[in-house]
Amino acid sequence: MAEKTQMPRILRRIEILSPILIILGIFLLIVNGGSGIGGFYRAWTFGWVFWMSITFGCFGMMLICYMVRARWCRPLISQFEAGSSTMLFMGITAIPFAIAAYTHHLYPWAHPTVVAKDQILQYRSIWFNPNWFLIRTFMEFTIFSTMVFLLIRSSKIIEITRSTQEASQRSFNAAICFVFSILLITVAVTDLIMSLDRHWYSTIYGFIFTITAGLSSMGLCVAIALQMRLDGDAPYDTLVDKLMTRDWGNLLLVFTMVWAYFNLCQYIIQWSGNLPEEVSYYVARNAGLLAFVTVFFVIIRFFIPFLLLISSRLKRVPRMLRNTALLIFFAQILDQAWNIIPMFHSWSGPGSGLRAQLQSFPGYFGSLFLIGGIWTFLFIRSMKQNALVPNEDPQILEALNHAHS
Amino acid sequence: MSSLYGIVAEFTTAEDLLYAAEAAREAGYRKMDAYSPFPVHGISEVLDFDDARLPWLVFIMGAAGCATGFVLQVWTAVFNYPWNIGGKPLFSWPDFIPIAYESTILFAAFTAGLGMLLLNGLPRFYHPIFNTPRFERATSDLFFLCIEVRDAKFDREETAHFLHTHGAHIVSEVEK
Repeated sequence: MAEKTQMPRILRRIEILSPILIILGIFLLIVNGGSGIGGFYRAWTFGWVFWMSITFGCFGMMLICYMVRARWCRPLISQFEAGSSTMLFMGITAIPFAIAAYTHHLYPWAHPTVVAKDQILQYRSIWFNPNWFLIRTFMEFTIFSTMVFLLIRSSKIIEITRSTQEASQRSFNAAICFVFSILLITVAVTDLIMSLDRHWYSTIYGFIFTITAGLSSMGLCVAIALQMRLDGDAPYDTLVDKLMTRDWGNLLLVFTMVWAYFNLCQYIIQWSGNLPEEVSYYVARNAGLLAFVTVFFVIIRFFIPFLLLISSRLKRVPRMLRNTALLIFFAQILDQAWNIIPMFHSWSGPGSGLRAQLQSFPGYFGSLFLIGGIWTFLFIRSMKQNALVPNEDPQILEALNHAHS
Repeated sequence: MSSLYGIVAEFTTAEDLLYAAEAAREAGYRKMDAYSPFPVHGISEVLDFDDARLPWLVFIMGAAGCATGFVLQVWTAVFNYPWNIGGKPLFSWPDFIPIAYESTILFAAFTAGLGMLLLNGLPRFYHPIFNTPRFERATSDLFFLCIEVRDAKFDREETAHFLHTHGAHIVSEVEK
């Protein structure tokens, strides 16, 4: 039987936090009203991309869990499923991007005056035009939401029937979805995020986003699971042992290293190439005060988690691993801010100047809180509807028996 | 008694080995070692293997390798043989990262390999554990648990009986 227990304390706290975040978010977006509709779109982009990365990350991790059916997945799978189930919501909240494309906001390729003076944007207009952008975005989220729906439905069937055949079929489907999703995420990220920059491009950007998303969502879910273990909530109090925390720590370490590897690849290739369209990304992030932010960002995003996670002792202590996982999750806010906000400077659209940017800051937090409040509400609702730890997969149970025998 | 090295139990599965090792630890045995054809998840925790010397050695040598690779490139590119490449500054540190990374791996990997041999006291031409019947199969399909004589709780008959009752396929006394 699935282990249905009273909702753990940390989930109850997050549930209480959700409406507070929503109210605070609305308030900050109203305060941000002075920066105009352009300011709203910029703010919305920041908050949306952050939570989208968590949703994508949960989705990717859910697919990995379905494929490998490993012991370390078991306490996390319900969280990954809950995070993935926000996909439809993220699709709905992507509507402002489609509107911005028609109202000539946000994207330089959507602004006729900018395009008229820019040969590169004219060349790209075959791909980047409002109609085609709308169709693609709609298709992307329809496909993602359908994949999430079908896979979670398959899990529920397995939960009821305990069918080994269905579990194997789900593994096969997850493998196909995984490969396809990586490609589709690259298209979605190129459309929705990379095209915010006027000329910059990078073919590894989709992979960077994918690994960033996986790392951050893993950080969030590991932190929640470890908090449940620390609070003594059943079944996490017995399920999460030293072997489990070591596996999670190793996974976080691997993701951190892959994150550094992908980012360094992009940096060294573009730095060596020294082409104006490519280096503009790094030039913008190494000018003035942003240079200090960049150094701080690299330290907090890579060096601190890396040095902490290579310690096997830390990975055995739930409290220390939880703090590291939380650092990884919150560093994602800085990651996305560093990534997205300078993109608004890349073209002289309305409200893209530095003053307007600074005025927009309450809005950035506003959208982060508003979307985050709804996201966490949906996340908790999904967690409440399902077992905290599913016993559904016969092969996971076999792996557990192997480990505990 | 003095010529006895320990009592070795043979198991046919990794699960049996892990179960017996856990039971032995709970029973109070401490001086024991396990031999298996592949890494068994959880066995090092059960055996309380917590030697941090090798990880520290690898970390220090990795950091030394990184510094060596970086300094070598700075010295050659900036001082020893300055050469203008693509108009970039002589001290172009991003270019030095791949080699610094490679030398980190080189130093760390060699330290891991050689350090492992050194700390294990290898090469060693004789070890009593090889007197165990069928021990050559520890590298193919059998699993062994050895409780050594120097364990405070060791008792020839009791220990052998304990291993017999905890899933051992064959229990052998192994001479030094």
